[in-house]
Amino acid sequence: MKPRLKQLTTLLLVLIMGLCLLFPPALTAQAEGESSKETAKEADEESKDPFEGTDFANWGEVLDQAKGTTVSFYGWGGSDQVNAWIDDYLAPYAEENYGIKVDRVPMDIDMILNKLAGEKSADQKDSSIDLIWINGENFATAKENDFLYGPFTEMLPHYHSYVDLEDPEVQVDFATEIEGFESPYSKAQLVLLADTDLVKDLPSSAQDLMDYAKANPGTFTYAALPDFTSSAFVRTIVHELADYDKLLEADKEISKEELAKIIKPAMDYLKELAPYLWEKGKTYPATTAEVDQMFMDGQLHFSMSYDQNHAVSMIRNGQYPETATAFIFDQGTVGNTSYVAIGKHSQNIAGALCLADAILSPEMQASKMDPEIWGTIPVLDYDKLDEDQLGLFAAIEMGEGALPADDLLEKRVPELPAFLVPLIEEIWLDEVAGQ
Amino acid sequence: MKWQANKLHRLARTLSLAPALALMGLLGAGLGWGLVQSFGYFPALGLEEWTLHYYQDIWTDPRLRESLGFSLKIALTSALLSLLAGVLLSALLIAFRQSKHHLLHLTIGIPHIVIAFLARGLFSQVGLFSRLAGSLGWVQQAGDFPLLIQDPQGWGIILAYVLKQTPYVMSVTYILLQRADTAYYDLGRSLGAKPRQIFWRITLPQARQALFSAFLILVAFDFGAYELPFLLGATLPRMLAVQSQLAFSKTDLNLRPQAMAYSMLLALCGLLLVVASLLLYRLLCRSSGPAIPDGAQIDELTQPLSRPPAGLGRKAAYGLALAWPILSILVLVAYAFFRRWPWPDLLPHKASLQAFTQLFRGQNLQILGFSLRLSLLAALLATLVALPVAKLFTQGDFRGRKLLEAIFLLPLLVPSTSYYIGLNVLFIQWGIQDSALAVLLAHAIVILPYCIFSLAAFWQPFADYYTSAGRSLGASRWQAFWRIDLPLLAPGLAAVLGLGFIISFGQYFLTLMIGGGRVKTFALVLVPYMTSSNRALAAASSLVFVVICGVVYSLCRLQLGSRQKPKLR
Repeated sequence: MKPRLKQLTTLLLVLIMGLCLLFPPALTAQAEGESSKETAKEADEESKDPFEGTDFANWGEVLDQAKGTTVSFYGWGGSDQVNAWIDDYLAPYAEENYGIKVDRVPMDIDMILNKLAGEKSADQKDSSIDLIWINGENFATAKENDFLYGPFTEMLPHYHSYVDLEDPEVQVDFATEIEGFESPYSKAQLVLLADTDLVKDLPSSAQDLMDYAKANPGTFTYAALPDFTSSAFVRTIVHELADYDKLLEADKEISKEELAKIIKPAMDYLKELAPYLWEKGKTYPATTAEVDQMFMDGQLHFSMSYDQNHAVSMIRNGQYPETATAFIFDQGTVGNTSYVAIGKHSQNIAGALCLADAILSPEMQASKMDPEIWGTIPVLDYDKLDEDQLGLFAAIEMGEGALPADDLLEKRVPELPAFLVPLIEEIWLDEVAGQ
Repeated sequence: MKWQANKLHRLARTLSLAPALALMGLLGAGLGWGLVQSFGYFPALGLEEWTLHYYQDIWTDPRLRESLGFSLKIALTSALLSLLAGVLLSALLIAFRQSKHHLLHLTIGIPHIVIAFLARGLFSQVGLFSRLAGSLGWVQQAGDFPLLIQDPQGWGIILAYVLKQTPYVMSVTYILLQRADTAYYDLGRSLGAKPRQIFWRITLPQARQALFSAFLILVAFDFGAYELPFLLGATLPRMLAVQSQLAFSKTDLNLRPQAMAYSMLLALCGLLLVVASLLLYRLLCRSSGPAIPDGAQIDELTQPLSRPPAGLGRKAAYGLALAWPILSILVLVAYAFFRRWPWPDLLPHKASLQAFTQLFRGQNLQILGFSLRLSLLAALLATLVALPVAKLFTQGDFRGRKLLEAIFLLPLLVPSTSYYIGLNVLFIQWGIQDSALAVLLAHAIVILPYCIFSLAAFWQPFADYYTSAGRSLGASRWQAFWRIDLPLLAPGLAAVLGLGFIISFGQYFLTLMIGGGRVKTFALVLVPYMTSSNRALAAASSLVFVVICGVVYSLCRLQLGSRQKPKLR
């Protein structure tokens, strides 16, 4: 190319790049335009505080305000199942029934909390976070630090119609009083996974697992804490071997030493198990995804997941052997409910309320339960549903490798108070990993 | 008239440094805020007392010394080994073709999370090498294969860093070899010295300044980065960078000041490390400014180097240099396009395109398009801003040069956790929070050091010589720059733009925190998949990422073309 021509084309390229500056801001201008419509109305609403009380006449107003707006839904984006369900089922349903668009934002909850803290630091009154997928100790932190809008659950029609208001998991989240600051989303339970080709007798207790590991060293391991799933596994062991009830009532000021004393039997178990784990327990995989990959390739005989439908979806997408299955201990495994909460400075509270309501509809809870789609346990009270609605749930077929929801719910261990979780993780690091 | 023009020119030159300094100013502001928080002042969380107790808590942690020692060991070893490997391989590959050399420069920009994924795919107990060993019968079970990564000594981390950084060092060394004095070479040969002797005793010592800069970049980065040690290291001991990052994930927000304190400590240690290295360097070799090549040497620059073929050594080095990228791509393809791959099979089973249909579902294509534009723009911005600074660094030693180098090295040294909150607060005050512009600026900050130091390295060989020749023939400063410097710099610019693009394209944490989730880039889609169990999806997204970077770089190269001999007559 002649030098002059080359210079011209380079200049052109630079101009095009410059034009690119026009496009990106447009992405936010759209969102800001819509939210600014809300700001004026919201200012009035918040000063009158009409979302207090159970006045259903307000729901009409909520619907009116929400129509045509976009709701940003922040939550973990690492599961394609969940992402696909939100994009392909929840979003169209929300648009059809409430006129709202759903903008799914993949963001880990610890980052969401960091962002909320940052916004509070800067005294920011217009947050981009509308609805948040949250639970447990993260909810406790958010509520304590005044990041959440509420109480709001009483405003949702579906909350009254379909949720069992007496259910402890609706009142309390990891031992934190919910008080209407979050609305139920789905239930999950820790399951262990095994390849029945390799494991002839599925362990039904912690002792069984220990025996198997001793007979077949190197075939089991769990990710290093504070990984989400293995942390739940450790709590399951604590439930089986230590005084779990005492922990459920633990005082917030409990010291690490006291706690260590209570969970000592569990830590002793894990210490005894360590030499028979992968790499003799000298190191643990950084994430549960790694454990899963070792399981997929046949190196480990076991894996674990906080998604009880994991085996089904992985068998279906061909990455698990067809002989894989999920199982739980006879004494149960920990399970929890996850919820949705609304950001305090959300610019679209009406929309967020509608989305929370949409999530509680039988249609959405049933579609979520379908193992072909996501496969989680619904949060609705079957006693409150009519025949047609019950039919939606009955029609769901369990996939290969699945455990029936009833089985799971029967052997469901409630989660420990949120403030104990990081302490247990530290004790594990000191006593088990550090050896 | 002349001296007025000179003054104006000097003013213009100083002003041209302003954008770069402004970006660093943003970083400084962010750091300042982080520092304040580390002393306990975090009113948003109800903490209003200034206190040192967060620092005290860290200092009294028994694991801190172990962590610090481990971090130093990893950073220094990785940087040194990368340097050695890079120089060695370069020596053997002297007649490397120009196009390939620039491509090598880019591997340093590949996101760590992808590198970790590739390292696992190759070196883990269910990785490619283990499968080879298993198929050949050398090991019976996957568990018998030696633990190459996730070992408590950290060799896995070092290996990954070396693989990532050696190509960069090779590329830098190549440039230096190119400008090597063939006059000295001929002289040496005529006196009976072998080519290798000349390389080690003449060429390399002359290159030490630039090589040392490369070393500084590597050591600074290896000390402060957390993803590789987190994913490829053993549970304990932990690198300080990992400890710092984990502190930000703690749910108890009252511990945020402690997390900030960790970040500050990390930044401080990194800085001390760099300073210590500088002092050591000064001690070991009295640093002179870069040698200004004289006429005879310059003419040789544009001619192909006449080196005798090195035979088997060269072929081996060639193979080694290419093996790592090729094997990595193979592993990615195997994971992305196939479903099952039980150990110890060498070939995977069950082909399927499902991972790609899942990847390009819904909004992801739009996100990809937006991401491309954003990263191109960020790379362009950073390169433009870097040009004046790079030019300055080619002018030899001057007062305050080391200080400026340290300032511009800062984004590499300090973890993004230490300044993102402050940066965010600043953007909120300016009203551009959660916008693409904010993300653009944040990316530019991160890319800047790479652009500056790489450009300076590219520019060094011919800085000023041709330009002054052109000026003496009557060209104006602008003409000299536009028609002489730029064409000579063009391939370097392409490499730098490509590098800037990759780094911006792979930024996750900053994009998430500064963009608030509103600004969706491809990295935001990629990273959650990388840490999920769906390996096929992780591989598919990595493959797409790598291919895109390659394509963008090739386009830049095509546009900016190969180096031309400037017409002086």
